[in-house]
Amino acid sequence: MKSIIQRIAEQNKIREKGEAAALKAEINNPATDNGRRNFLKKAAMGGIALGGLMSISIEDTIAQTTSNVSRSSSPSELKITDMRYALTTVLGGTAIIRIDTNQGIYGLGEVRDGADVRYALMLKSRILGMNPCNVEMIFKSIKQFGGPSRQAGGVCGVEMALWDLVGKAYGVPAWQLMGGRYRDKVRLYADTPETKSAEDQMKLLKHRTEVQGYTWLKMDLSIDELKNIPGTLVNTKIWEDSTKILAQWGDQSNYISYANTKHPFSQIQITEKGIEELAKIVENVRSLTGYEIPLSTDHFGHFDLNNGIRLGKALDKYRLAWMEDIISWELTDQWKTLSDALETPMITGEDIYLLKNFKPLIDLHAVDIIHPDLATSGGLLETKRIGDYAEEHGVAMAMHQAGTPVSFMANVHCAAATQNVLALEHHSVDLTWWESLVKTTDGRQLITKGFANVPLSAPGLGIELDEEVVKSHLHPNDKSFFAPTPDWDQRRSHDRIWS
Amino acid sequence: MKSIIQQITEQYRLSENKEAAAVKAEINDPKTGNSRRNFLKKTAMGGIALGGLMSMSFEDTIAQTTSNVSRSSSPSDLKITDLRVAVMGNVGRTALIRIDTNQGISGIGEVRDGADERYALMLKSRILGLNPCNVEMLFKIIRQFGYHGRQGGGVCAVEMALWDLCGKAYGVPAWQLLGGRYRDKIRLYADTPGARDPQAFALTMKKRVEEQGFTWLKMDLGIHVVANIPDSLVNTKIWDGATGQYDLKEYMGYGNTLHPFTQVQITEKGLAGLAEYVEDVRNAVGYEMPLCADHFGHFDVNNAIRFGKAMEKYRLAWLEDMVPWFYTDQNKTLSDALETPIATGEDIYCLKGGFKPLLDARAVDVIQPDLGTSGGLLETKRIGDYAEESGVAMAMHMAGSPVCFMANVHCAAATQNFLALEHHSVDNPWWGNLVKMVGTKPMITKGFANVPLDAPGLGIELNEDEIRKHMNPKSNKYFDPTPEWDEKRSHDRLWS
Repeated sequence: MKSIIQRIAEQNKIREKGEAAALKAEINNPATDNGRRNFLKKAAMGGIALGGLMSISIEDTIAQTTSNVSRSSSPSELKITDMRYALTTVLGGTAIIRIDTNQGIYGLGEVRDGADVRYALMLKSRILGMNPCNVEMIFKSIKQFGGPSRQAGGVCGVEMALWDLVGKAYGVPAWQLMGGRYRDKVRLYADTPETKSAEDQMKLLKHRTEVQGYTWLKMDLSIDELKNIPGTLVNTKIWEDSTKILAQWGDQSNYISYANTKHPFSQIQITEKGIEELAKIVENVRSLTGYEIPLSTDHFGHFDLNNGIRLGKALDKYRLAWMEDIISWELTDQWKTLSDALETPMITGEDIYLLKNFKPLIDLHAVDIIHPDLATSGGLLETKRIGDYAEEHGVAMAMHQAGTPVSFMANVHCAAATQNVLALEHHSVDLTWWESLVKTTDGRQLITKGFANVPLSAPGLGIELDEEVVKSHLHPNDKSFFAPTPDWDQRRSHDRIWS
Repeated sequence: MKSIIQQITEQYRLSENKEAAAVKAEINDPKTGNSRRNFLKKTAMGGIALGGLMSMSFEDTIAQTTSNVSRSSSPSDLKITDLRVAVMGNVGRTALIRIDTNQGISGIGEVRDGADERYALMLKSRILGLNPCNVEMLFKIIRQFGYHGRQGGGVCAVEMALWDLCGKAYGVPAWQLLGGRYRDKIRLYADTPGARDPQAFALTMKKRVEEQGFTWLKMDLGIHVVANIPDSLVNTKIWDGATGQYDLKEYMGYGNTLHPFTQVQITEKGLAGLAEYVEDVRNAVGYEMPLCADHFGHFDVNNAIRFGKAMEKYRLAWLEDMVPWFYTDQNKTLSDALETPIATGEDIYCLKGGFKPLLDARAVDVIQPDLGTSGGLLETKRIGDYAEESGVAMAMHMAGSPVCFMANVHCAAATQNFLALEHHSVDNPWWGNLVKMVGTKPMITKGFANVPLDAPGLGIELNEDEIRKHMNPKSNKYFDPTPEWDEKRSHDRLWS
């Protein structure tokens, strides 16, 4: 035994000497840049052995001595040096951000789809010079700049990028930094394609489930579909736009348009006939898909909870997976009423920022399922916290997602690490170039037959951008590609929100 | 009698004809601008008489016929066309904003001191093309972009500027648009620098009271006062002496560490030293003068209670921000334990989600919103009114330029439970010169601000020459165009 140990020690010493010599050579090589040189000097001091690491921090000592951990950077010396972006055309404008460091590694994140990239740029001055590995601390220092819906886009984009960075610094996948994983693949849900002919719809649905492999579907069920059938709705004329549509995402520059009028304030009602017609639509889809597959519903329109309850009761028999955003998320009491009245799961959440704002709904059990969008809810760590809190209260979690593969992967890591996740939305199933925006760093397929593959060993988020593809899908209003952003370097505000 | 009426009617008809002819001449003059021409056409149609206004809107009909109201613009046609900034330095970074319209009138506002002007610029795309007179609706559109501390600065700047505009459009002072006034002059309070040196301090206080006329004073009363006296404080070494309340460079430094988490304590000796300090101040100013205290330092509620008890005999006007504002329970504990008023509020945004919890819990005696953070004139009046119903008084925190100052004056005029408004730049000789008063009264007379009774909107104009002398060296453009903020680049709805 002793001789084996001696042999191992001897081999180790020889190997060490070899490495030390290589290091010295690299240090002396003028082509080696300064950041790398400093790191190498530290590593060379005393040699890469247990006794010779007194001058570096404990994390680096551990990193050095456990030889399976990547030594591509000295994590405790990592500092954020820049933040840049590229604005893609995905969903009306979705910015991918990149956070750079003093050691040549970078993190990728994404600002919520449809949000101003300046929400992220405003944070640049707050994070420059900080060590990106201290994700929680940095999140707490920028948290005050987030808000509901798109307003949290900047904070969440930065948070995602930080996990990508930490992961790369240590050679660890993001889900592992969340405490480990529950699953190797994440179930996805996709929309149900809509066409005019029943035959075409059948074909497309079959394609969705059998060829593309999706095991969970979501359909739109809007009162706007009743507009040509008389006797189905009450009080819609006043809300129709010039083309006679009840435009949910219509004229948002008009403060009192239908699009901007919350559910209790439109006083649109659905008649018995209207409810029958809507039920027919669901009946039709169920006849094509069968009952085994979970079928969620969304985008109903702006009518109050009374009409929501009547509609919900009529749809009860179809055993829908959920009815989404029947009313606005912050009306906690009304959600409780809806939930208690119906035996179909109620769900909301894509516009909610932070666990704090999910709590009222969860504490009251006012919804059955929460539906955070990670690019609004607070990023990976906060969204896992939201999921865990929901789990403790018997509430499930689905994940809303309508961005690029960058936020998609952030979701995948979070979903891998959170037990009560049901399914993650894939909003761009039919967008042929969407997946090619990125390359996986471990060669895995992003998605296999309706499931996202959890990267088991790729560090950080596990993706790189395919620059050519991203460049060919830049937004016409801003075709800059990770250009410098010096306007945002300086902080121009006192940030403390207490005195 | 009949002939007198006939005479008056005849005279009236003659003057109307003259005016109509003058208006027609101006319309036909090629030098007259288009918007003015449109306006004149409207007024000329049918003549400026009760029967002849059928083509105008209700508001304009009223405006026309009540001849004391200025006719310089047609309010229902007013549209916002631009938002520009000028960043100067005063107590901190102080950005003035100007909102321009299609009728040549502009409103001025101010971003909270120490705030990024981009908090206001981000709102430009949301208000372009809208009628600035619909102040409440515009506030509701931009409200979601504000938050506590400096983050409320942009929203409040826009809100102030809108009242200035609306007032100018109708020729009405801002306080009148808030429902009328309770007072003609606004009591001010000022700071008390130099308390360490009793002789110099006595002189400064003489100046404050007798020369400058202040009737309310505020003092800094923090643990920094006794920091150099051995055995006064516990556990300050780890916090670098616990004197750097405003040093925010290190996230984990004293400046950024909330009160419950420092575990600094004040000893009996420390309290005695602090009491001596206050005793000296009282000796210099007497007891009639309300004297409030601020900037205590970051220590917990237990030490705050002991501190407060040691100060009871001095009958201070209030103890400000002894614990962070968002700890409602701790504020309540403090309030219940002490018989000196507890105050907080300068960092709180809006009534809902901001002041309401404190007021509902009766956790403070005095609220002190800063109008550059709390939500502007209307929201701050609403906060004051809600406080009044809860039996809580309202003072006003202010460390900005005369623009923000005047916004405060109008709000204070219109809010009953107002106590006093801070004037943070008392010893700054050029501060008052940053603006010119439009009305007949000076801004301040002997420790009181004069409520403008005869000037529209906020009642001031900017003094460009003076402002230019104090621009921020790195951001020194004086109301230059801001086209990069014209377009909205985000979906704003907060619900689905």
